[in-house]
Amino acid sequence: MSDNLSDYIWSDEGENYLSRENLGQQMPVDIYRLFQYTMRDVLTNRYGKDEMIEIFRDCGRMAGKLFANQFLDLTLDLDEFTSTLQKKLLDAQIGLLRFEKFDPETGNAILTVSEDLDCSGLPVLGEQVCNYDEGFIAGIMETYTKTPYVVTEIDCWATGDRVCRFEAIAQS
Amino acid sequence: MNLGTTMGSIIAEEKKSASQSEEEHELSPIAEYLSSLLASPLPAKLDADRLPDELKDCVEPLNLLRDYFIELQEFSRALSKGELDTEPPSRNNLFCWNLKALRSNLQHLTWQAQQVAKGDYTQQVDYLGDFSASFNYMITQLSHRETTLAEEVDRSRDEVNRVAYVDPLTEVHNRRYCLVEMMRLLDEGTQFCLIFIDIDDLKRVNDRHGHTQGDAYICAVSKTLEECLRDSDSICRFGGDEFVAIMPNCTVETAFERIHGSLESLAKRGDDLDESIHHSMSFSFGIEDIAVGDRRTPTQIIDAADRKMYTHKSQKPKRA
Repeated sequence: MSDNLSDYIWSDEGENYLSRENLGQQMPVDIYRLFQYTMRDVLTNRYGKDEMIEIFRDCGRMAGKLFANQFLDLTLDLDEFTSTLQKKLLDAQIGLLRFEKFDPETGNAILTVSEDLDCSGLPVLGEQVCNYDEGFIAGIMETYTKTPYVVTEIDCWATGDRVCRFEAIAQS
Repeated sequence: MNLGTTMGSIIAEEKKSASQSEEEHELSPIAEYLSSLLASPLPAKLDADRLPDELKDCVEPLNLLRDYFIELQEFSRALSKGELDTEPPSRNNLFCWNLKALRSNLQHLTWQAQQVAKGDYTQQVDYLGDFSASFNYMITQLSHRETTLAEEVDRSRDEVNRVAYVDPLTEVHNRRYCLVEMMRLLDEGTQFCLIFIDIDDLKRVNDRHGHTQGDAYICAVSKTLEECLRDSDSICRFGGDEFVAIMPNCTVETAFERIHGSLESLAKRGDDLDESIHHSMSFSFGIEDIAVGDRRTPTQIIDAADRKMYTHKSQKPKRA
């Protein structure tokens, strides 16, 4: 048995975690944000903002790896992988992923996520809030390329932009 | 109307008018500033010294408005010229928010176009209105055309190969293919056996029964060779009544066994031929073994096999 609960999301062991016979698989975005933002606040109050951000990035990275292994064909070439990734994030309603640049030599990329699950529509808060997404994108890229990535949010709804833009730098 | 009341009203109106005139005079720097903002590409800043104290609070936000306005103009001008890497406007400039989203979309479309240019037709553009539909339709059409073009190229290549290397009567390989294939095997250093085959009495069949029967005789020999030799062997029509069989990695014994079997099969064939031809269908052959490292040219090898074929033919009894 794994110590990580996240390993059981798609597991066939025991009762399926996705089993919601009457309520189905969908939930409102504001409830998802209620869950995430309260967790942010509690973590910030207890450990400080910097530590909270690191925790959120790590969670996102873990989720990105699980997502990649569960839903993405990691044997595809780069072109097909990027188009599949865009489609999978769209199907999962995580956001509209759009690549602006991808250097196949370095593996560095600039990409945007519109209608982002975490922050789109938020008022201007003056700070970037998509730390979970930073980790999530890094986790996916690392699983596909087998190279560590640092993903940084450049623009965010919460700082007054209409899309969230990320810079992904391969650490090779 | 009482004169005193009338005069009082006039004086009151004049006082009110004078007061309004003073206010208008105080507002004129703001009016100047707004005119400049609306008319000039580089509007002037609002001068705080020209405003009364109670309006000085307006100076900072109005000058920030001016700065945002200038940023808006510069950013939209850069976008209109396709300068997508231009420095973005300041974060809080709400006039530019949608333009920044537009820039992101244009950068994404630029990347998509680059992907399509290098032949990646798996990309799709989502939720960009009419542009998505047009772009995705373009990708589908390009992909379809490329597939069609590739199929046409394949068909053309097959046709060119057929014309260049296939004998039109028998549909086995021709003399050109024979020489190319021999050269390839010699260059590779592959051992092979070459059988030179000459149809017996083709001239007699042509003279007595006509060229249609003569052609049927040639085709019967060709089909027999195809049926009796190995799949890996190449059968070539070398001349009018001559065939060459190229048999890679083959011993002389195997080559003899196969060609002798062909000779026996030929006599038993039931093709659409005159009965008198059936009984006399045969050919003569000569086998040449080409060892690894053989330095002869294709012509020298064929001449050697041809000489052996003549020896074989001359040993056969003459027909009446």
